[in-house]
Amino acid sequence: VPDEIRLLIASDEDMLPARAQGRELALQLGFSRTDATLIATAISEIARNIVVHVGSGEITMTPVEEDARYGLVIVASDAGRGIDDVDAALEHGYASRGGLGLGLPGARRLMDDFDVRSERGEGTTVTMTKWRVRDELELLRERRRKQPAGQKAHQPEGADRG
Amino acid sequence: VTALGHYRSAYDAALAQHVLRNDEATLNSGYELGRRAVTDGVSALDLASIHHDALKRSLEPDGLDNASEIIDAAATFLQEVLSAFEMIHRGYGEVTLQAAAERRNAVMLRQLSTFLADASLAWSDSEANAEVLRLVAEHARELTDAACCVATCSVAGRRLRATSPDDETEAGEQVGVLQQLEDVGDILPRRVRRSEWRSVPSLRGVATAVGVITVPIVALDGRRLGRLQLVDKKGGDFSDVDEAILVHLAGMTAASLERSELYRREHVIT
Repeated sequence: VPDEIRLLIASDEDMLPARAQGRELALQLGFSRTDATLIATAISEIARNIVVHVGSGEITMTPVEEDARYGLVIVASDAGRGIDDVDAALEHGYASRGGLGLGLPGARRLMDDFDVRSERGEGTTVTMTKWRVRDELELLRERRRKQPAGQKAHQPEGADRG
Repeated sequence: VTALGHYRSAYDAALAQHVLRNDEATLNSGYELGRRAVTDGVSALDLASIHHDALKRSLEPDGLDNASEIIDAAATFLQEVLSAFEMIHRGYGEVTLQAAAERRNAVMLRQLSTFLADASLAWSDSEANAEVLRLVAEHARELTDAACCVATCSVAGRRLRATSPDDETEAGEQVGVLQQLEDVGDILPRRVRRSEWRSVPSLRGVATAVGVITVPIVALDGRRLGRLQLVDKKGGDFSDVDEAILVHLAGMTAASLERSELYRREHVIT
């Protein structure tokens, strides 16, 4: 699994490698095919946002590992004029407001964590993360793999005497 | 040819391409078709039927020779198409929850309005005043999902204060933050987001970074009677909706205070 993938987004065509690499990274981290599809879709939505509203930007994908979960952090940044009202941009698209719910709010709903930082004239940075919880069996296998060769797992005394 | 007919043709062609190539470009076509279905109003049932027909056509040339591979590829393609529907579906869930919360808020505000109307006759009684203010603080906190609310007001020359923490064990810390804010005074903006905490000059001395909302309780003639101040909304920052609810609540409280003042004066005169 690579430490980081960095891609330039300047046209619709640039969405393809971003989607492909995001999907591939998600599958390598053990995400299901469904989650990998949702991640690719969220990447498409934020990449489309960059191309349509700013023209160009960058997407960085970083795998993260915590004790009980794996995550894929995707950061999309641009140097555009910024978003005047981030809350409104995230809420735009709610059915109650007449939109369809795609774009930024759509990407937010597909990911677990979602944060938008924007300063007028300084650009916008969207950080989104999808998490996969590691089950007990997976953790046990990993502990065994990391154990030095020849060292057996601790067994209670007399456990192997029949 | 109808709009649905055009969509069907595009879907047929895109799925046929995907079955042949099975790459990111053809998957991207599926994603775009999903977005188009949403914007054109193609229903999920139509989509199921269109996908079924397109898959059947994709299977026809080779018979059953590589049916399994074709069906797998078609399933991946369908997931891409449906991902746009997934965004809408999740959005619908959020809106439904929001509507339920708004209905609950309306009921709570109605109840409180009736209560305040009845209680305005008892505002001159200091114990009843404190109880009413406590209820206002409690409703304000519950309606906005805040961790703590402090309501202050002046009645008949007496300053009253009511605190409503969500969790009694953390009340000390939250009240401490609000106490510090009280020292900061009226120069605080109405809403401070967590991320803005450090950039508000008057808050530089306050150590804990939490979101704050402050709504004044203002009489009809513009006199400031008190204020509602809340900290730490669960799951984010205080929103426009929270502010609107609190302004409404503060207005109800002010009206109740004024009614009680009139009632008290009338009794003194008579």
